Amino acid sequence: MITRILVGTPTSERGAGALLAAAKLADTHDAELVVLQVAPVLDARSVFDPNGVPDPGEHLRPLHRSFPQLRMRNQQASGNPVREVCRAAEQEGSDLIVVPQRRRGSVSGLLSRRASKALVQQAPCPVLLVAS
Amino acid sequence: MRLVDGFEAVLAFYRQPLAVAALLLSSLLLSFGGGAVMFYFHAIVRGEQGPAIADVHHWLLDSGLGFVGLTPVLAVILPLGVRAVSRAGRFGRQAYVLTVAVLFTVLTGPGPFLHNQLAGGGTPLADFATELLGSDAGVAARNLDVQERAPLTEGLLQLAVGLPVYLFFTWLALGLVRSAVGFGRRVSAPLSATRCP
Repeated sequence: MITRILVGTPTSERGAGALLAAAKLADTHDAELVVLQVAPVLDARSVFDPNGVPDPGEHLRPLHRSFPQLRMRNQQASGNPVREVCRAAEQEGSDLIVVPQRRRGSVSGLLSRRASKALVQQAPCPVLLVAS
Repeated sequence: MRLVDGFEAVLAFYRQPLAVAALLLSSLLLSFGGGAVMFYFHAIVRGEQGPAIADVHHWLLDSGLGFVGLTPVLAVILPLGVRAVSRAGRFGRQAYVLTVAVLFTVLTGPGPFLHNQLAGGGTPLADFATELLGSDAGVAARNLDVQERAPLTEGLLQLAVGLPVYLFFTWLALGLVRSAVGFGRRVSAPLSATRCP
């Protein structure tokens, strides 16, 4: 039984596919959705595009409208995405991790293919990778 | 921050297209813009060694070599500048410009010495450039007056002249990147608004 799903996303709309998949799953299983937004330690936007640093809750608002019954919490972290997602999954006691995986040659998505493999190996629970 | 964590953070930084664009633009401006000022100072004002080629060719050659050689150096400096921003609060822009320009100035301090060793008058590279681009009689006459100068004095002069020059070009590069990003957002916003849902 799935009671809590952790979705790890970058701090932009680029993880929208994984977020939607996780929300659908959580809605179906009546599970709580924990959204972990992981920013890079050195965020280029903080210097070169300060107006582009997104409001953390902004790309969650459509989910609230689409899934009004969904229990959802938002968390922020910065650093190595694999380490941060594993740490949060352990702390939260998540039953499933959902993360957007980067397509080959793409820069969007939270994890590279190699990092996704590392996450699958290190995660304390099953991992669902969603192509971004 | 441990060394491995620092390396990972730098890799993650350059996975952001904005960081790569900022690196290339900063390197171009510092190498060719800063290089033009430093070339004027060293070759024209100070009358230092160099191949007897036209000044424009000399500047392009030096700046081109500088761009190739200094982009990797700048690739290490830029993340340090971004790190300084997170600790500077509302003085983030100033912290970035100061960090990048000071480090760049210090690391290019030995530049004139290296230049004279690698491409100064009489070196194989200078001879090759003169043969390839043709000798300039005015520059050749100017080179006859060249005096030997102490590397330490040259290094210190490089720091004194380089710092304000690199401060200006780092500030300019930051402003240009920010303006380009802002322009891109203004252009793309109406386009995305007209897309089908």
